[in-house]
Amino acid sequence: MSTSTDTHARPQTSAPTKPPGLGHLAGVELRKAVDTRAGFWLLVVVVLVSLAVVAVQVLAGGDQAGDYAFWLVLQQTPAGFLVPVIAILVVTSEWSARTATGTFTLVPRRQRVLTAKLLAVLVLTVAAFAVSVAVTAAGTAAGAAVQDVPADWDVQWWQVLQPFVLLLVSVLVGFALALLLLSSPVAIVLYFVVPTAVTLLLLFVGPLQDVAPWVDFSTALTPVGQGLQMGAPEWARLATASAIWVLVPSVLGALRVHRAEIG
Amino acid sequence: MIQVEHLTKRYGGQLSVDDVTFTCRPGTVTGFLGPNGAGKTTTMRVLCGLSRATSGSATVDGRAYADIPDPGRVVGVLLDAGATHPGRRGREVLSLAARTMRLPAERVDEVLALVGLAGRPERLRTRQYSLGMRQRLGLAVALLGDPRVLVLDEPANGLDPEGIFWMRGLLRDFADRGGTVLLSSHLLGEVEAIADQLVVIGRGRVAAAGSKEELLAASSGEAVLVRSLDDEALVAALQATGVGVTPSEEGLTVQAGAEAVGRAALAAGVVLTGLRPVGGRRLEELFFSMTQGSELGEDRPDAPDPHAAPATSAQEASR
Repeated sequence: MSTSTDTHARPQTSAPTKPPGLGHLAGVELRKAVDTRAGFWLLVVVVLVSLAVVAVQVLAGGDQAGDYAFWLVLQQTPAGFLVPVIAILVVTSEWSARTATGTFTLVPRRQRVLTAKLLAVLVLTVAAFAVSVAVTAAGTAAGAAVQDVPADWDVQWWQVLQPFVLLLVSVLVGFALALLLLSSPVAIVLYFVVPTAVTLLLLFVGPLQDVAPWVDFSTALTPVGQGLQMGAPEWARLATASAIWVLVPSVLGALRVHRAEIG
Repeated sequence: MIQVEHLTKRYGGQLSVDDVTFTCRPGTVTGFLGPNGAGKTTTMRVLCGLSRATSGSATVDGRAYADIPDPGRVVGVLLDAGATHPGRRGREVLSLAARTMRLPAERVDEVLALVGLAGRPERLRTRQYSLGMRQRLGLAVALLGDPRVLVLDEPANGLDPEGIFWMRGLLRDFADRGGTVLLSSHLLGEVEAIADQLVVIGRGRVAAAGSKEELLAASSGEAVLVRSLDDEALVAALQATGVGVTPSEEGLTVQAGAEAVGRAALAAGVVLTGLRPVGGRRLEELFFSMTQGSELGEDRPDAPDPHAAPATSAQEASR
């Protein structure tokens, strides 16, 4: 023991000069998102459910088995459910698992850590979408062959962009709620309960139906699920609803973290 | 070098740290000693930038913690050994920290070997770790960046006697090479074994600070524990010579040397059945006398505290 102590517990070395860069920290955060048991299995489940959707497309797709745009939207369901949960855990596990103490002693610039987490979440979202694009292509080719229908590869730009925005908004809402709440169970439960409750409330309270697409991001996203192209008014509604659900809690949450006593 | 100057931390109306000032110099191991709730952890959190001071300052090598560009390579911190993600493997915890500090992967192997977690323990998820293993992992994270300052909150908590002995060697070696160590504890034995400097804190205030020897010399002076066949006669004989005597379960604690007690016993014709110095307990007396009432007392330092009975007898013994 004494020899290794001599070699490794020496206190005097060259002083480092630069703080870690944002891209570097984003890489660390990305790894933290998937190196725990929870993060790993969430990714596995996303992949398994995606493959299940492909199985449905190939074996039970019928006339629609070769409709790429249709299945690309459906493929956002597994990722849209679980990537937001990963995004939530990227933020809240620091508090729920109390690792924030270690994270912020190594990187005292808290906003930089939060920005790195956001970048990591965006990378995960793009990666999940890329996988859904590839998996849907495979499903479409196989589905057309198995169901003996023509494969429809005629895909408009908006038929790719809109499903991506659907996934992106879901993930960002989760991230924002996580920042605001800083607790894994609370953020996950509220993420699944509150948007649905708001949607139902707006649906059943007559006078509110007109404002619903402006304040409720799920309502604003209904054209995506229906495979309809969003025009300027639809994008304006989605932008407004996203600002309410993403920007407001993010800003409040970032302020909270900035001021918080850690640990 | 750690400098804490007039540090005050208030939570709402509650004063947690009250005008605390002390310095930890290179080459020393400073024990930060006080009962739970005395303000040790709060002081360390402020020092490490996790909590903001209400007033005053805490710096490492003259800089506020948040102003150190890559703090892990200057200050090794262990504030909460339980604070690891339960689903993350021990080695992965170190790999993440190494990446953040841009250290080579070999460094992870080095510290794993150093703290005795190499092999099977490094592959376990931390939920399977004992508290002692968590302390070792936390110490490994603190040592990873090859810092020149260590800030450790209750690092011996959960370590077995062998582990404490090992840590003493590690920290002693670190300090002998010019490192600065600040470690907190609420247990006297731990601090006595490891530290050479002491900062005793009670109710948010520094009650005493200095080298261990200084503080021991300044405390109760000579004392012996005496047992006899006739305590009553011995007490009378000792009190006649103006010596302080305190009865305890083990016998009589006498504020005098063995020779004085022997002479008093001879003069009174009392047979002694036990006579031993209690120097090893002086720090305990110091601890109790300096922090008396700090856990339960009111804001006025001199207010009598009916709950502090055990500490009171210890304090009397030290007079």
